[in-house]
Amino acid sequence: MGAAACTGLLTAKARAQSSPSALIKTAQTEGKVVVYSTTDSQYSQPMFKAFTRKFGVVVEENALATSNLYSLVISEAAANQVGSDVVWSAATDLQMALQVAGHAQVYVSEETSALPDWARYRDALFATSIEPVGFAYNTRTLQVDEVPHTYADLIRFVSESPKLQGRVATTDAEKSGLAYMLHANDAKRHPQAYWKLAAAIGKAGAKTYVSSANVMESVTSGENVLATHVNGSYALEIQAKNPNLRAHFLSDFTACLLRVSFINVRAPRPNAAKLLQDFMLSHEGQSILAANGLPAARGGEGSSPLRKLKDITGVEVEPIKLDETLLENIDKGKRLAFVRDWKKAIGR
Amino acid sequence: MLAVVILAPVLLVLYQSVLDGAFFSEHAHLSLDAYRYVLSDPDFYSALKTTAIFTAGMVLISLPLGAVLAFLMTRFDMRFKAVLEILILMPMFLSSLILAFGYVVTIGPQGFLTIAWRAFFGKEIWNVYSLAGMTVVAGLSHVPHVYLYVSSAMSNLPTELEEAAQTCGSSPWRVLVDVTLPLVTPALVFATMLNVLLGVEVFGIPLILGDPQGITVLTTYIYKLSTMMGTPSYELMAVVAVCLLFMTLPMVWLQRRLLRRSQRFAVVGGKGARASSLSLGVRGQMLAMSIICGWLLVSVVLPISGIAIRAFVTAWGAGTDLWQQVSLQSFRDVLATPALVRSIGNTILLSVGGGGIAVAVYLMIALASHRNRSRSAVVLDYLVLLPRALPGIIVGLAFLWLFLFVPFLAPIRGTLLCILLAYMVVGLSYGLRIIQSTLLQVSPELEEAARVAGASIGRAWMDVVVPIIRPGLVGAFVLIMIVFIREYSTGLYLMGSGTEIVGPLIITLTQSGDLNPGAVLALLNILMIVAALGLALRLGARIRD
Repeated sequence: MGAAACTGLLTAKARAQSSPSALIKTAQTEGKVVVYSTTDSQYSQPMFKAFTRKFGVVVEENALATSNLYSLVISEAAANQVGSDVVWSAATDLQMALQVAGHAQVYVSEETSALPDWARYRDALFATSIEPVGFAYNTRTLQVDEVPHTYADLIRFVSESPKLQGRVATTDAEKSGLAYMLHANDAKRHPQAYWKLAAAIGKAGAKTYVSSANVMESVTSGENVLATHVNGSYALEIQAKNPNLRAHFLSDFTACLLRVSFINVRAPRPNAAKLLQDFMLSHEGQSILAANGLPAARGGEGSSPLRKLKDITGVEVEPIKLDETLLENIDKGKRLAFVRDWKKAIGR
Repeated sequence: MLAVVILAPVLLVLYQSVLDGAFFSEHAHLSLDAYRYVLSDPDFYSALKTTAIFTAGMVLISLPLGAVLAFLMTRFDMRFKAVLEILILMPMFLSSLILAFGYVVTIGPQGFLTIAWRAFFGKEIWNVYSLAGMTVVAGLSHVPHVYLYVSSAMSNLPTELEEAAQTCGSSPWRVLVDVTLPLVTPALVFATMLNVLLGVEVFGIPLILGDPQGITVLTTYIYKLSTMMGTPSYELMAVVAVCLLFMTLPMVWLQRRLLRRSQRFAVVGGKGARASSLSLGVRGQMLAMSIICGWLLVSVVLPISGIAIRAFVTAWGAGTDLWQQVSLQSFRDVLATPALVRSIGNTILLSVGGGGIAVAVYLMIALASHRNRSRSAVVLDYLVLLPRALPGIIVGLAFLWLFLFVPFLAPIRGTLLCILLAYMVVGLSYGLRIIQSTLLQVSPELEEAARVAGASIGRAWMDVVVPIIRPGLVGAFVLIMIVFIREYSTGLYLMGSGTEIVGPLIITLTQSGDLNPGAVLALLNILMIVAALGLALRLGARIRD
């Protein structure tokens, strides 16, 4: 296995040296590239359009929910009817599961090598963006300086503020795979504070939501006043359009998720896939993604991506580890145990 | 042939339920572990119980209301009939997800009506986020399903019997209860059955209104199983689907028993004609109008105004001045996204063109089976409801797998044709039932007369039976069109780039980010159908005259 991976790596390295113009030409003869994606098209389309303008290769984006994307990729592979060239998902753990099951192709190029080590896994998985895990609150009920910036103060605030009783929301770790990842990562990295907060929001009568859009909607309308464990990038995007909601991050611990892409090992259009993967990680692609609300995973000239994310969120962020430990998330025993504890803590 | 098409997804689900992994995985073995897990899970039983309460409540609300509305609309000289008919069918156009969301915007805790109510009367007396709230919303929104079946049966009834009753001094209410309802028993039984199945299958309403509070029904339980273990547990999902299938069978049996002597209901015989409507009088008109308008207000105006408002604003809730928020930004965003624009065209094509094809196919099935008292007709009755009993999430997966793993189907995957095939199976129970229940009223003597006069079977059908049941066919077409437009889970795995359709797309869009584009698509969806339906009804009206 190790040896196989090594040779794979070597041949890939050798290929990476072939001239990009040859790659462009073969990609153009393939004509299009199919992406299975969980990214909202408002975030992804500008980048794909720029790609098409630049290379004349059409991007067909199939929008899917995370677990549907996973099902589709494994089912197509089993039926020998692979349709996707590039697979791009916010479910870091499911992407890792797909890589381990052999669906991701090793690819090394100038662009992939420029990613920080924590944003790359075995030259097969590549983080295209880093998205902070955060909170969101309703600005008509809570003042900007009212919401505390540390776990300890926030826990006290949730327990004591009468405005929050019955109006706290969180993402559903049992019914949503993405939510599970956010909760489990915080619980692992910062256990004491995490479980105290979970118990506090449980006592405040927390409501749970399966989709990120619905939890945000409930905060913008004021049905809920505070939401925990939401995708901070989405919250920041909504904040830009909607004065009712503000994204919030804690200074003592803020994790960030990795939106990960890979080239399908049996991609019907392998060259177009490589060209697109390169473009997604290039300075050009990264800055278009960032401009549309998905913070870059690759640093710009002289600045690290984490530093940039700090400028946005105002706090230090710690990327979720892109390695085999993510597979714990799909270990049934561990998962059920965590969900049991979580449901108990939030009072379900 | 039909059996193969319907049974394929069902058998696949059955097979999947007795494995311990995905059926296509090399590591999957025969095992009953999935059954053991589900049947010993207390959450399953509590979801089952909630589902039973929810469904019973829903039927209790929708059946009487739907029957009364159908009676008023078909038997009496109601004013504004054409407009009212469109409005009555409105709630069906909305997927339950959209509908539930519309209610949240109007009468949720921060809904604009709730806030207005508070200003005048103090605390509101309702709570949409409760089992009762869910049940009422679902009950009201399923009135049109009852209405459509019952009214299409009623419009084929000759009015002589009712006229006789009215001449003898019966009030409209007595006419309904003693004369009309008994005659349309088949349609009522079908409608009840279908609503029970729909109640078990409703996903959006429990997801939006119940789930945040931890109220779980079987569909949201299945949803949980798709993520609870990290990777989707197909075998557990299949087990719950199989349980649902077994709950359906006794219902079909019951229905067959009730309708065993269907000859009783044949009143369109060799003589008699469909005649004019009865007079309600001024007071009757007003009473009837207020019943209809009251119901319309709650089940049409409330949710649709919610959606409409949401499509034009990006922020709402307490303290937000809606007027200041009004903009066309969300519309511009949608129009700038090719996939979303494409989805609108595809949906029209699929529902109008595909709906027509579907009704033609259903008509052939219905004609072939309705005089057929043999065992195959019995089997058909059971067959058509089976796919209906499978929850949408499972149907979507089952069809994906069929199109992937059945070699001759693979080439059409990724085309609208494959979506149409899947939708035709899903719509079968609706379409076939409505055609069958009107066929039941055509007594065999008409065909016999045609045969005696020397017509072939096909000719007898085309020239005698089909023209008589034309209102039923139009009804079926409208219904199928609506079902196709509204359906969301079946297409989730089947649509791809170029074959986007609105229903599933709304689901995908509401997973992340914000609800702006979803709200716009939902509103466009409604407008699209109003147009299509207006046209269809005009067509239907001309035929009925």
